[in-house]
Amino acid sequence: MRTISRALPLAALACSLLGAAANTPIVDYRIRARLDTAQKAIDGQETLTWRNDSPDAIGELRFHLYLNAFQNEKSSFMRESGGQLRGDKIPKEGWGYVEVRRMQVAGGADLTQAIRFIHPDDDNADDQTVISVALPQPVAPGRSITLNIDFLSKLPKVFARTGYHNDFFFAGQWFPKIGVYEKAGDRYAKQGAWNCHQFHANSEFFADYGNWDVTVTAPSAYVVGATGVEQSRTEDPQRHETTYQFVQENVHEFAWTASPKFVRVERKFDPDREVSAVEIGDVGKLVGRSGDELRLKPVRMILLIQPEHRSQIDRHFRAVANALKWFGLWYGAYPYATITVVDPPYGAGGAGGMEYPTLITAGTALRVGEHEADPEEVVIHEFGHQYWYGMVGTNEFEESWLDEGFNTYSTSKIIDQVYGAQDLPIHWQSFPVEEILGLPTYTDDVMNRTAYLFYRRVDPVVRNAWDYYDTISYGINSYMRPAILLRTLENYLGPPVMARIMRAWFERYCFHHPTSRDFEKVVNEVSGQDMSWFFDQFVFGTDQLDYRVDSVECEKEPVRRGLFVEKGQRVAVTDEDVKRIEKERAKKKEEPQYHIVVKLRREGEAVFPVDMKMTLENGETIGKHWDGRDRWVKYELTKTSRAKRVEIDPEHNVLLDSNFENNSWVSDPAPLPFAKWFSNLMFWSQMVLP
Amino acid sequence: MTISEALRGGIRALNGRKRLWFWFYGVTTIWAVAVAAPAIGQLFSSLGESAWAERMAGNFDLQWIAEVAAQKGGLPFLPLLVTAAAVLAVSAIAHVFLLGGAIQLFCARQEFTLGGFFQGCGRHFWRFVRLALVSALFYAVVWGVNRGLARVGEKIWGEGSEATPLVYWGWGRTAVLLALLGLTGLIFDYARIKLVTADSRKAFRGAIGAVRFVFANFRQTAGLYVVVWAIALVLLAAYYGMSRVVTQTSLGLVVLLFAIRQAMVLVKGWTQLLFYASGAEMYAALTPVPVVEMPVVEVVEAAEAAEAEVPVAAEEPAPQVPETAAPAAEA
Repeated sequence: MRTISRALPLAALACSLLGAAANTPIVDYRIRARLDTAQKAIDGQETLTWRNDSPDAIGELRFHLYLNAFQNEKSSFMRESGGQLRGDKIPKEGWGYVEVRRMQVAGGADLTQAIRFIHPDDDNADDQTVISVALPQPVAPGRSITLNIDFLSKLPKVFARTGYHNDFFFAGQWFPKIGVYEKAGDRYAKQGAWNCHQFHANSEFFADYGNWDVTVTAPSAYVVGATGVEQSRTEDPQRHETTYQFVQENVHEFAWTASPKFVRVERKFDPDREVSAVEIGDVGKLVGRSGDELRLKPVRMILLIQPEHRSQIDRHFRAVANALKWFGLWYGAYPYATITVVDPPYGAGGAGGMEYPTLITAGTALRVGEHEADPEEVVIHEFGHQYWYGMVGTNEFEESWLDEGFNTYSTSKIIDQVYGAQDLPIHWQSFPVEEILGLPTYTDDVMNRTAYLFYRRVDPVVRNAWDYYDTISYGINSYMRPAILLRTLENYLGPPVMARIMRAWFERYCFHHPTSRDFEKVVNEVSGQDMSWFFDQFVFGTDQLDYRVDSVECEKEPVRRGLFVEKGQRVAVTDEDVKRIEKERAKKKEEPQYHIVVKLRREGEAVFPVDMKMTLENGETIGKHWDGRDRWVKYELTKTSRAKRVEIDPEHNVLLDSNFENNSWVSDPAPLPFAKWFSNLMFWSQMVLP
Repeated sequence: MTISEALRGGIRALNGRKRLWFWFYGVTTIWAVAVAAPAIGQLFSSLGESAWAERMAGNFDLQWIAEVAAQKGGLPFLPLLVTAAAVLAVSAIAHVFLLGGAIQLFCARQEFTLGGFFQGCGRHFWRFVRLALVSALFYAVVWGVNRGLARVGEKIWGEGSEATPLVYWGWGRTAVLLALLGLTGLIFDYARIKLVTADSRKAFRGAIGAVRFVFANFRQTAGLYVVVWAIALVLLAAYYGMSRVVTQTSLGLVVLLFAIRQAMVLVKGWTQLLFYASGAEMYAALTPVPVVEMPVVEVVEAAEAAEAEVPVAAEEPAPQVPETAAPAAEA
C-alpha cells in the first residue's frame, strides 16, 4: 500500500502525457494504399523508419507477412486451424496473400533479392508469414534505417479478422510489418533477438509502438474508417476516387475498412455528462486517487454500422460510452481522440470482434433481445483491448492471458455492473426465444467459471499460443481461466487493493511490453504481500484446487464414566451414576451437549487458504480459518446444539476451486429443489412424449 | 356436417369415454416418470448432502447445471441422446398401440370396456405401424421441400451482405413447413380413421384414400384440425400464464403447480383424442354411403343373406354403424 503511493503518480504522469510517451517511437510508418475493389486488392507503398533501440548492431530485419497465412492450405495457420476459425471456414477461392514487390533502403541498396522466408516457430517450410532481410550494413545502436517497400495485398474472402465480402473491405494485418527486436533484458530475452513469430491459428500479435501516417484511396461512393484521426480528404472527380489521410501516434497497428453501405454516425463522449461526481468519488476511494486524477477526456465516437442494424445505433454508442467511462475511471483516461466501431455485414462475421488501435470491429444480429447484451459485450471487450494489448503492449503470441484474460476480467466487471444478468442469446428465425422458454440468465462471472470447470488441467495459463493442447485449451486458458484467476485474486486481496493493482499495471506499463512476471511484481508491490505462491500454482502451473467437507459427526456428549478428581479427591462415576445424572438432567430440562467433529480435506495439489463456516441448529455460527496446507484438518467442538450446515468458502470467493458441490454439508437435505426439478422434468417429458 | 357439429359430437364421444382419456394420461406419465426419477436420483446422490442443492431451488441456473455436469466429467451427450431416443421410441410405439383402441371406440361408437379397447389396440397396431412407415415417406417429402426452399434462399441471398431477406425467407419457409407438417399430420390422422372404419390392412391405399378425402373436404377437415389446434393452444397459453404466477418457491407451490401441470397433461391428451373423436364424426358424415340395390321381391331373403356375409365393402367405410355395433370382422 505504501509502495503504491510512491510509484504510481510518476507512472500516471508518463502515461497521460501521450504525446511525450514513455518511449521514443521505434517505428514510423507512412503508407499509401489504393483499394482496387474489382481485384479485391490493395496496392501499397510503405516507407518504414525503424529505430534500433538496442545496444546491438543489427544486420538483419524481420517482417510479418500475415496475409500469406491465407494463400494456401500449407501455411502453419491453415494446418493448425484446418481452415476454420471461430466457426468460420475459409471460403473456397477466397485466398489472400501479400507480395513484396520491392524493398529498398531509402537512397540505397535494393533488398528485394535479400528477402527469404523463415519459420522460427516450426519446421514448416511452406509457411511464408515471416521474412528475413539481410542488410548490406548493420544498423548501429541508436540509429535508424528507412526502407521503401512496394507491396500488393490480395485480400482473402473474409476470414480470421480480415478480407472482403462483396463490397465490404476490412484491411487488417495487411502490409509488411516489422517484428520486435528485443534487447537483452527486454521481457524474457537473455540476449538480443528478433521476436517475430509466424502467424498461427491460436495466436494474435505483437508489435512496437510508433507513428502512422496512412493515405487510403477508395471509390468516392465508399465510406472509409481507419485507425487514427482523419486529417484530410481529397476527391478526384475524374477517377471517382477519394483519398483519406489518417494519422495516429503511439500505436502499434493500423487497420482500415471501406464499404458503400456503411451508415456513419458520430457522437461525442462528454465526460462531464457521462460521469457523475458520485461515480468519481466511489472510484477515487477504490483506487486511492483524487477526482482530478480521474478526469477523463472527450472522445469522438464513430460508428460505421450496417443499414439493417440502424435500430441498434444507440446500443452501440451506449456500450462504447460505458467502456470509455469505466476503463477510464478504473485504469486511466483513454488517451486517443477517436474510437471507431465497425459493424461488419452479414456474411463477414469473421471480421467481427477484433481490436485495432482506435478501431474495433463489433458484431450483432438482426434482432437482439432487450435483456441480451451480446453486441454490448463484443463492443466493450474489443474496446478493452485498447488498454490490454493496445496500450499495455503485451505479447499476444507468448502470453495471451495478459490481453485476453485481463480483458475478459475487465469486460465481465463492466457487463455485470452495468447490464446485470443477461438472457442467453438463443434465437430462432431471428426471434429471441430464450425469455419465452424461461431459459437461464447468466452473468459473465458465471459464464467464465462454467468454462473454467471444463478446463482439463493440461496447460498452464502462460505458454505460446500455438503450443496449447488444443484450441479449447487455448481459449479457456487465455480468456476464462485468467478472468476467474483475477477474480479470485480480487476476492483474496480485496477490491480496493485489486483496483490499485490494475491501475498500477496500466500506468506503469502503458506503451511498454511487460510480462506475466512484471504483473506478479506489481501485485506483490501493491498488495505488500509475496503472492508468488499464487502465481506459481495458478498462472505458471496446472495444479487443481479442490477443498471438500469430508465428514461431519455430531454426537450427544455422554456422561463420562471413570475416576475423576474433584476437590482433591478421586470420585468414581459408575453406570448407575450415569443413569441418575441423565435422569436429573432430563428432569431439569438441561440442554444436552453435542460433540461435533468436522473434517475438511484438500483434494487437489494446489493450496489456498480458506474459511470454514459452521451453522448450528440454534442459529449460532462458528468460523475457522485454515491455511489449507495439510491434506486435511479436523475441528472438534462441544456445543449445545447440533451442526446444521458446514461450508468451506461460504461466499464462493475462491472461484478457482474446481468443485463447489463438495464444499458444503447439510444435516437435512432440502426437499424443495428436488421436488421442483422432479416436477419440471416430469412435466416436460409428459408434454414432449406423444 | 359443420365443424362445430363434428366438434360437439367429438366432445360427447370423448366425455362418454373418460377412462380412455386416463389410459393415455397414465401411459405418458409412466414414461415421464421413467425419465425424471433416475435423473433426480442422480442429482440427489450428488447433491443431497450439499448446500449447493439450494441453488437448484432458484430458476434455471446455468451455474449449478455446469457444476453438476463438470463433476460428472461433462454432460454425457451420446448416452443422453440414446436414452432420449429410446424413451421417445418406446413412448411412440405405446401411443400408436393405444390409438388403435381409441379410434375404434370412436368409429364404432362403442362404450369403453377394457376388452373392447385392447381388442382395438391389438387389431390395429401393425396396421398403424405400416401407416407410420408410409407417413415417413410423406414426411421425407416435406423435409425435402423445406431443404429445397432453404437452398433456394441460400442461393439467392446467402452470399449477400444483408441478413434481412434470408430472415424473411426463413419466416416464409417456416410457415410453409408448418403448413405441410400440419397437412401431413391431418392426412395420416384421417388415414388411421379410414383404416379403422374400413377395418383394412392396406396402409398405403388408406393413406391415398385419406389424401383424397382430405382434399375433397378440405374446408371441413382442415377447419376442424385448426380449431382443435386453436383449442390446444388457448389451453396451453392459459397454463403458461398460470405457471408464471405459481412460482415454485415453497413445497406447497411446487405441489400446486404439479397439480396444474397434470391437469395440463390431461388436457393435452384430451385435445389429441378430441381430434380423433371429432374426425371420426366428420369422416362418417362426409363419406358417401354406398347404394345397395336390393331386389324388391326377395327382400327378406336378401337381407338375411347380407347379414350372414360381411356387410362392409373392403376399402370403404361402413355407411352407418349402429351405436353399439361390434367391429367388423377381418375381411
